[in-house]
Amino acid sequence: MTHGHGSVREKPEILMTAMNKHNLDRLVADNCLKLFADYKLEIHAGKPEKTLSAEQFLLCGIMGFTSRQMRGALVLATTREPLERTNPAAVNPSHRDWICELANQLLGRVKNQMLSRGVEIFASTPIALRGEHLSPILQQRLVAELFTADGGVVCVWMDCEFDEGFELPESGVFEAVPVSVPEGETVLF
Amino acid sequence: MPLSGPGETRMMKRVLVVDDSATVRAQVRAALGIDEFDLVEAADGTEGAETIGRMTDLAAVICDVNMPRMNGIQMLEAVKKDPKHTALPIVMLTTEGQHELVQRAKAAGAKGWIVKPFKPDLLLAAIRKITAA
Repeated sequence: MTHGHGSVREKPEILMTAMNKHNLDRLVADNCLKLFADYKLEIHAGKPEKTLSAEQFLLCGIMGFTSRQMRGALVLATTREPLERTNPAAVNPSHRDWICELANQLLGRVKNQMLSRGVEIFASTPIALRGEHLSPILQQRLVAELFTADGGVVCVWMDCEFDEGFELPESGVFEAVPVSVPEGETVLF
Repeated sequence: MPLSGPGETRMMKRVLVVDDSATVRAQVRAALGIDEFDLVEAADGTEGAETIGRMTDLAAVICDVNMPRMNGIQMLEAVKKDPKHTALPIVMLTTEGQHELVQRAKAAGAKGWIVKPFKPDLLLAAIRKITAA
């Protein structure tokens, strides 16, 4: 039996990519739950009872990112209610501005936690798209995390490429975590 | 901007909020209230630095980090180079929490660091504290 040059290397690489993606998806999903909880909106993993059409997603906030070992984009899409309920103080709410800010805050949390896994992420400026008739064409299988809330749906996914041989740790591996101010905290000097 | 209450007359303190998100600026406005602080807004570091240069009565600045044109750290460093603004308290309000950035801001003269999403009561307490005469 002979092995082609790529066959012995491809399988571990595919597995590693799948594990990296799994770890990253968990991290993004956990932080999405926490972010919305901080804005007093409880969301739960799982599909809504009714099937949602693409038209019901009001807006998508997209944040591109790069790092030495990986690069991609985070996409956060919601129906109208979660957007409005997480921004109750707004007098004339700009949904576009708010979905961008939520995507920015979500990637910010992921970014801070990736530091303890040895990955420093640099984010781009967020952009917003109306959700009508949009659907993602991802490089890997689509793993969109779907959350339901009272009166709405939140969907988040990471489209990501990893460098060959890169292994994203399942949890933080550096003892001296270089994040000095956690989310929501205030530090006065 | 006199603020009068029973038996007292005092001035509202003017606070500049620099953030490219109009929604965040509105949230800061809601957190600080309309009775105690007079809020002025800027949409990026360039606009923020210009506003600080123009207004002589600012009591404090709340500033995002990641913004177009000039980011918040660059704005902080530029503003603090001017001896006129040495005493002006600037608090960073951002999604960033990395030690290096926090230390860079502290070294440049920042008064504090808050990671979004902010808690309105904590922001109000912090601004009251740093603007207390």
